Amino acid sequence: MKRTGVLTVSIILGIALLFPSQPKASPLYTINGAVSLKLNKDTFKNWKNISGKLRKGFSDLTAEEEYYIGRAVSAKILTRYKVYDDLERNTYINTLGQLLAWSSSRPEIFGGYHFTLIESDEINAFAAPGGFIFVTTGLYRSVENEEQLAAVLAHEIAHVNLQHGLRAIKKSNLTEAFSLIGTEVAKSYNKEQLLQLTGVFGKSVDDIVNQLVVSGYSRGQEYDADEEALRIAHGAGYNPDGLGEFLESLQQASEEGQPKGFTSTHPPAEKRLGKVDKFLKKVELTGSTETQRSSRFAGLKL
Amino acid sequence: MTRSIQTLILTIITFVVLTALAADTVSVSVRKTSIRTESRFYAPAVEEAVYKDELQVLMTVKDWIKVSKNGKEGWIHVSAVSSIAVAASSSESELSSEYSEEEIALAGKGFSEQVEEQYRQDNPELAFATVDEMEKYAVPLADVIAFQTKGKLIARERAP
Repeated sequence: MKRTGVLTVSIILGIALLFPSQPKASPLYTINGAVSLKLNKDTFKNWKNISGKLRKGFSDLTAEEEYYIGRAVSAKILTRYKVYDDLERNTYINTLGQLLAWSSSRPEIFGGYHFTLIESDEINAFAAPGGFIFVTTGLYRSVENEEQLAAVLAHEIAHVNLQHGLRAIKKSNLTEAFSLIGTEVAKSYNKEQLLQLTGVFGKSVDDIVNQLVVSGYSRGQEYDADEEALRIAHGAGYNPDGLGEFLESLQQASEEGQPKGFTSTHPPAEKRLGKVDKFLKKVELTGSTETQRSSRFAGLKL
Repeated sequence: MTRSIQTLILTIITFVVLTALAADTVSVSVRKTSIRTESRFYAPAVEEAVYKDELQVLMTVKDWIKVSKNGKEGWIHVSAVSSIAVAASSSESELSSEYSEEEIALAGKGFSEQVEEQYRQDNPELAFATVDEMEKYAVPLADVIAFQTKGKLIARERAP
């Protein structure tokens, strides 16, 4: 009898919640068999799904894990390259980069975006997971205006947005990590667990560093980053032609036999140019280059 | 009515009740961010929010969510939050509440600060101190806005 009473109350409460007599007036709610928020798949398109109890692929890494992986990848990259100690220009690329990130598909990431110039004659740039972006002084010297620099930074932000770094982690390392981490809530690991997890963390970091510095991303990933870079730079108000212009100068530099970098880890500039032009025509993106930006850059030229 | 059917119904009802109660809250998924007066990054902050803060959802417009924290209302970008519980309807079943509860359960676990500390001990040659320095480059909002204005940059709708 008591049980029936509880059941009746529960049913009434359940129905009341399923069909509220006064649905909230905000556009958030739909009555669709269940009360639901209109925070749909699209709203969370950039949000990582941790599906069920089993984590399987790179996309199951949390934003916090992506950040710590990115810090370690950066700590490795910075043993190979020295930071170019120039507060004015580093502030410049960080300001420009932050503005671009606002137009990207993931404007907010765990630790935010950070940019730094590194000393090297190579024309190159790297993006570690978690928003750590490195631009060589060689590259900075080779760009001719702010539109081109914006295109380069947007390309690197796109690699972060598209999680290309995390995709470099070998499946076997991810599987090992996820099985060690498990799903039970524990505040910390015992020493043995911690050492094992740190081991697989190191292997994952090496997978990414190797791809960033040695083998480079796949051509498909580079083309995707170019397309996304055009969206980002255009969204921030830049002339999207900056990317094409930069690729043209890269092509020229490569023909003149200037120090490589991009050419060893990126597809040929000519091929990228073709794809960039095609995309710009398809989506009809245009813009103009304001003199205020060009003169600002000229004052900061290396 | 058999006991097992009663148990089943009670379980379903409990699930629905819990889901409905939690349905309008999101959890901050970034270390720190701002709740802003308008749905754009260059709008002034109303309130600061930090990792794992729970925010009351009021409405959404495109990629922005109007939230309430400590009685203050403002906007936060969707990339800065995880959903605590989005009730599963047929068209939105991929967003069952489990995902983010899992993410919350994993907070501070996995590749975490604790793992980094061990990794740093094992690899003292790595340039973590320089990474810390790099993270200090945080440009104040006012400077980004001034940069935007001086450069005659006007934000545009995202291209398809």
